[in-house]
Amino acid sequence: MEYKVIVPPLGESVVEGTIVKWLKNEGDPVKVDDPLVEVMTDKINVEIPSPHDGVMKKHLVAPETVVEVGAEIAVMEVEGEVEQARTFQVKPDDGRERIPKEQELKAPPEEFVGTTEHHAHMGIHADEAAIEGGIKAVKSSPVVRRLAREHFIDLRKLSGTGKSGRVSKADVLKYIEMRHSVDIVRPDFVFPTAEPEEIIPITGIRKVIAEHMVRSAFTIPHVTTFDEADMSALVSWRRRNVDKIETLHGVRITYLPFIAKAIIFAARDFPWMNATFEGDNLHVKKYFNIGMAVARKNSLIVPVVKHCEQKSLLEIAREMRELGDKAEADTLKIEEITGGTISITNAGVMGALGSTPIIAAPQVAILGVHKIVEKPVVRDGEIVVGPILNFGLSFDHRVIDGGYAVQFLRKMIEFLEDPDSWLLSVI
Amino acid sequence: MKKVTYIEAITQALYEEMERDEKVFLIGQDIGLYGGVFKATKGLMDRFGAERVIDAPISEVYIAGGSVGAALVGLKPVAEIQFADFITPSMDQIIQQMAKMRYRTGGSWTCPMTIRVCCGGEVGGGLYHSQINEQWFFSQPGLIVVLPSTPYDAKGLLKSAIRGNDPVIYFEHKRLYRSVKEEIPDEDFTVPIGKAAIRKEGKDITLVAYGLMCQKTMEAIETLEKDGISCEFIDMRTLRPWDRETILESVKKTSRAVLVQENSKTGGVMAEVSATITEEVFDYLDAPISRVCGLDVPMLPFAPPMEHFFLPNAEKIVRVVKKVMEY
Repeated sequence: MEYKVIVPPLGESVVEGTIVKWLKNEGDPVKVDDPLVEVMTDKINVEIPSPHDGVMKKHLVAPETVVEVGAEIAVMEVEGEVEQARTFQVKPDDGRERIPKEQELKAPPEEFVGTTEHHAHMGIHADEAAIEGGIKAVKSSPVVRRLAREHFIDLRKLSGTGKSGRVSKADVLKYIEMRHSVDIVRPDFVFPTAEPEEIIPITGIRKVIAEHMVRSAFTIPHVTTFDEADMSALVSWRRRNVDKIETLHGVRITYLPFIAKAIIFAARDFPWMNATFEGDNLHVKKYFNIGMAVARKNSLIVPVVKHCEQKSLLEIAREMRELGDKAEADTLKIEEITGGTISITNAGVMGALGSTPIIAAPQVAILGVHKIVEKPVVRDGEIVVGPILNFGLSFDHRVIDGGYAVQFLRKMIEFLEDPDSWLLSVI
Repeated sequence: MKKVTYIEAITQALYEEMERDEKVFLIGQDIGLYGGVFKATKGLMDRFGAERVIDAPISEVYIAGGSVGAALVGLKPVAEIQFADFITPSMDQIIQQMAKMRYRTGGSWTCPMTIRVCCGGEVGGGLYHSQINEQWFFSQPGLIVVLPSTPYDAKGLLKSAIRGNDPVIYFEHKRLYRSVKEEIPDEDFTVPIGKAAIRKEGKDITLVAYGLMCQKTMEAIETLEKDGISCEFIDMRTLRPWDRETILESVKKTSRAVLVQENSKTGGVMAEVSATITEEVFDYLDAPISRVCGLDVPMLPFAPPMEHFFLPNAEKIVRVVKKVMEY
């Protein structure tokens, strides 16, 4: 009989995928569980296994096609009578706001370009003193002054091509266009040699990331609070033990498992930080699935260490390493990248001293971890050198108040600064 | 569709309006038996008779004043002033009576009349046959002032003027009478008063002109476009009330403007256009608004090289546009 192959559920919140390639050609014999087709979803590529023995009869969709979960994608010939898979649609009211497909991938609407929000999104902010200073310092016409104020431009940054170096309207429009054009994520940017520019199409995972970022950034009113931890105690503890631990347990422990534990302890007093905001409900989680952002060659992925509250530091460290390896090899499973309740992103490994991370919706908080640097600190009235870690905690201001987040971060830092008070309980 | 000259278009409009409405009559010097010094009314007396095509004495004040009276008793006079140079004797009737009638009677009386005024230079006409004098009427509230540059507009605007309920000074440029020719529709049409025509779209600079200066400007644009300057060109057509919206929107787009006027610079139509642009869309300007105008001398000289020196032309326009573009 003919059996219709459908796109099976691909994981929490995943409603569609893109056909990457067919792994069974038309006419190929197929065994149960043989991978039929590779589908790329928001976060990961999955292979859809065959539910039956038989022959691949016909592909209903071509590679590159976007298919919804539950849609028919192929016809197989199978022996005997089997139950047809039922086509279905992912319920739009699955707790997440469903953004229509075409809207998801569209560039910001034209009326958005050049607005205050767009500038904020691009990191361009109104520095009135600079703008007015530029207007005073540079010979310009009324239209140039208007454009400078509307687009937050310090005219001193432009080289004028008008009469005796006057900045003209054309100069400003060119500058604005140039500034907008750099607002594109450029993976593996290579300085061009002969051509004045290189155009890199933003597709696949990169495009999906871009779209996620935009959705998170524009749905969630982000606030980032900063606080510093004096890591002296933890740094010296780790220094003493890191080699021993590696010899005994085969894992080189970093600070992240400690930070994960500190989050868990601090959340006892501030439970709303570990939650998801879905529809009109805040789902405060009693377990800690901590997303840890891992940079890959062309993208970034956030594998989730499940139930950190039940795991030892070593277990967390080990799992992080495994997930990192899988991310590198591109073999992460859907369930290993979904279900996070709070996230950590470590820009410190690259040397960053501060960042304002974007929350992974529907979570409500993400902790930016930065480089530990030697800084002067005051201890018992004396200025001494101490290893300082600057944290940036972004939170969803719709549901988390500023004071709440600030106190949470302080509490977490207190745990990190005094590891002796809790270390024994988590080893 | 038939190709007609500017003056033929005027004759057609007069003929058709007289056929359409028996209240329409013509009055002016030499317009009847002689058919007009430029032959604008040729044949009309034969068709409509001496009572509707009246040869007036050499008295501009009578032509204007008599028309005002006729308009007040319900007729639709179309008067002709043979040369704009000689319009001054009629000024009292035009300014004090015709222009102010609707206002001073609180709208109870109107002056539905048209005065055709033959105007303009570059015909070797000398001091008293070359003036344009449109700015006197342009500055007078209560009047409508038009100055077409094409046969189509000449016909359509004259019909609108005759059919309207208010006094119109209809300037017709004598240099254009037989030098422009175009196909116009056979069927009845009008051109709305108060609406400028965008003759050419462009993005770098807005050029504005009316009357004979439209030809000069188009000639200049040919050169400018070859040099890579994209010009938008607006023919005002109606001087009062002038089409602010079309001109301001264009300048908002291009941020630069050059205004061309045949008459002397001081106190002219383009002074008003320029001031309004500055008042309304200052924040869009990228360079000073510049004008190309006739010289500030009492009247257009007779000697051809002097006349050429006095009047704006394509080279002068190109020079000013380039200066503005370089700013």
